[in-house]
Amino acid sequence: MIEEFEKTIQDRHQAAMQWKEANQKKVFGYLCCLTPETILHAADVLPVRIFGSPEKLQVADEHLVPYGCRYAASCLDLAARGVYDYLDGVVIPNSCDLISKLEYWWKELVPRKGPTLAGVELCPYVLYIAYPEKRTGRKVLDYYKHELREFKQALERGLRREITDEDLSRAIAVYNEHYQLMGQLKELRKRSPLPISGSEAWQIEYASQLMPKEQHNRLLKGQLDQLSQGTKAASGVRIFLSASATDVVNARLYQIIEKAGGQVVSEDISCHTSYYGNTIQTNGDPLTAIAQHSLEIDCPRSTETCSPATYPYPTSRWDRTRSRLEGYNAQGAIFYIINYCECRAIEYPYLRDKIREELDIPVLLLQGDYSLEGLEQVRGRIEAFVEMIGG
Amino acid sequence: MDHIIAGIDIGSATSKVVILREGGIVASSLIRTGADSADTAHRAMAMALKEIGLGLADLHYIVATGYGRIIVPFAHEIITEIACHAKGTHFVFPHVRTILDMGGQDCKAIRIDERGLHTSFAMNDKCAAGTGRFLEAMARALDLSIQELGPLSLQASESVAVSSMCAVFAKSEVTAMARRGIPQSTILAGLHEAIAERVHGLLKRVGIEPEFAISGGIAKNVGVVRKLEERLGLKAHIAPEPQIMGALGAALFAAERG
Repeated sequence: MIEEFEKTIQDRHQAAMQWKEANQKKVFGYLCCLTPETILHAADVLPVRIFGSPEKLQVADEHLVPYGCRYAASCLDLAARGVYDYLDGVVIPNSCDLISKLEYWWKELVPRKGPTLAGVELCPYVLYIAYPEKRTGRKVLDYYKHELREFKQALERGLRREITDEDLSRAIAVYNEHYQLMGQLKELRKRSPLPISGSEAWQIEYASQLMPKEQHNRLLKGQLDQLSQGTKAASGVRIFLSASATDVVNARLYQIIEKAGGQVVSEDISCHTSYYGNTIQTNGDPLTAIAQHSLEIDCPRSTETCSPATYPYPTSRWDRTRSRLEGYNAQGAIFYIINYCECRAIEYPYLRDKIREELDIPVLLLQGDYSLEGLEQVRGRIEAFVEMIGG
Repeated sequence: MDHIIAGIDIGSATSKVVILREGGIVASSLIRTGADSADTAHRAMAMALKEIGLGLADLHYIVATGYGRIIVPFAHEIITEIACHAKGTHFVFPHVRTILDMGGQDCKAIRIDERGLHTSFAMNDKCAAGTGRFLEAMARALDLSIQELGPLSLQASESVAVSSMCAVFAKSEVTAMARRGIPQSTILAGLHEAIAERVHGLLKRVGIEPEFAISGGIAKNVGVVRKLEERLGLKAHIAPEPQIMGALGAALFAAERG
C-alpha cells in the first residue's frame, strides 16, 4: 500500500500538526460522517476525523457511565488528555445519543474561552450540528439547509472570513472527485479475483479522513491505475462487514478475518465514508446541494418517514445493504456491534432476517467492547464462520 | 503399517485426545488443562499413546482443536472446535441436527446438516453462566464435588429461584440460601433450572431440531440435562463419553486429510 497512507495512519496527529505548521492554516476535528466536511474545506480548514485508541481510559471514565459506548469515551479521553490539543475547532453532530452529548463533556474537559456577546460565544471551539432524526419528509431539507447556514455562519465568525458560494463550489469539486475515486475502488472490489485486500482498502478509506482530500485524490488515482492492471490478487471467502466504530481498534477485525481465510469485499461500517453513495449536485445553490447530499447518508443512526407501502420498516437501509452484498458476491455477512451501540443493535434483527431470507447468505453476529482483547475473543467464531462457508 | 491418526482438543478446563486406527477409536485420554497448554498437549497425547504402546512418531496426522489449539506443538492442522464438535457428534449420532456443547469456559449451540457440517452457531458472550466453571464455583460454595451436583439435584421435590446468573453474584446468593437452611438439593435444582433457561435462549438463536445432542462436560450432569429436556420437551442424545466429541471430530478430520 502507498507509504503516505500508512505514514498518516501510523502518526495521524504528527501529520496534522505538520500540515498546520507548513500551511499556516486551521485544523478542525469532527465526529461522525454526518459532518459536512465540504463547508470546512471551503473555509480553508483541514477537517480530520476524531478517532479513539486501544489505550485504557484515563480521564473520561470519571465522567461517563460505564454502560456507554467505549469508542465515544475513548475519543473524549484522548481529548481530555491533550492528544487533540492541536485542533482549532471541533464539530459534533447529534449522531447517536452519546456522541451528541459529547458537546458538553468536550467543553468541560477541554475548556477554551472565547469572546462572548450577550452570553453567546462568538467563536465557539465546539460546534454542534442538529441533524434530523428522520432524514426524509416535506420540511426536512428546508430545516437542514437552515441548520447548515447557521453552522457556516458560526465558522465565518470564528475564522473571521466569509465562505462564498465559489468557495463551496470549489470544495464540492474536490469532494466529488473523492467520491468518484472511492466509487471506482468499490467497483474494483467487486472483481474476482479480488485485486486488493480488505485491510488495504480500509487503509485507503481511513487515510481519506485524516489527510487533505486533494492529496488523497492524487495518491488514490495512482493506486487505482495499479489495481486496475490486476497484477496482484487477494484470496479468501468473500465477506460483507457491518461494524460499529471501525477505527484503528476495531479494524483489527480485517486482519482476523484475513487470517481466518476470508476477505472483506464490502462494508457498512461506522468511521467510513461508504455512506456517501452519490456526488453532490453542482447546479444550483451549493449549500442546498450539500444539505441534500448529507441527507442521503444511510447511516444506521437515522431513520426515514415510512409510507404505507414500506410500513412498518423504512426500506432504504435494507436496499443499500442489499447493494453492498449482491454486487460484491459476498458469501457471508459479519455484524460486529460494540456494546451499547443501539443504532446498529436496533436494526440488526431486521437486516439479518432480510439477508438470510432474500439472499440466502449466512450471517454472524459478534458483540464487542471496543478493545483489542475483546476482538481476540471473537477470533474463534470468525474462524468457524469462514470454515463453515468455505466447506 | 496401519493408518493411525489423532485429534486433540485443548479446552479451557480439560484436554482430550482421541486416536483412531482404521476408522475405530483405539485410545483416548482426558486430563485437566494446566497453565502450560503445550505441556498439557504433550501429557494428554502421551497418556493416550501409552494405552496402545505407540509413540508420537507413529501418528500419521494430527488435528488440534479447542481453545488452546494454536499452541499444540505437534499438530499438522488446526480446526475450530465448532466444526469438530459437529463432526464428532455427527459420527456418533448421524441423525442429530442441533448440538449443545457445554464446556468449561463457553457454551455453543450448533446447527449441522446431514453431512455433519455446521450451518449456524451461537455462543455465550463473556459470561460463565451455563459453563463448567460456573458449576465448579457453585460446587465449591456448597462444599460438594462436581460429580455430586446432578444426582443430588434430582432428589429435590421443589426448586428455588436463583436470580443471578453471574458466577460471582450467584455464589453469594447460593451461600446465603445454604445459610438460611434451604436444602442443597433444592438450591441445585434452582441452579440447574436457571442454566437450562439460559442455554435455551442460546439454542433458540440457531433453531432447535427434534434430534438434539448435548456434548461437553456438563452433559455428564444429569440435573442440567433433565431440566433442559423438560424445558425443550425433547430427549437429548448423549454419547457415552460426551467430553471427547471435539477430539473425536478432530480425529475424523485428520482421517480425511492425513
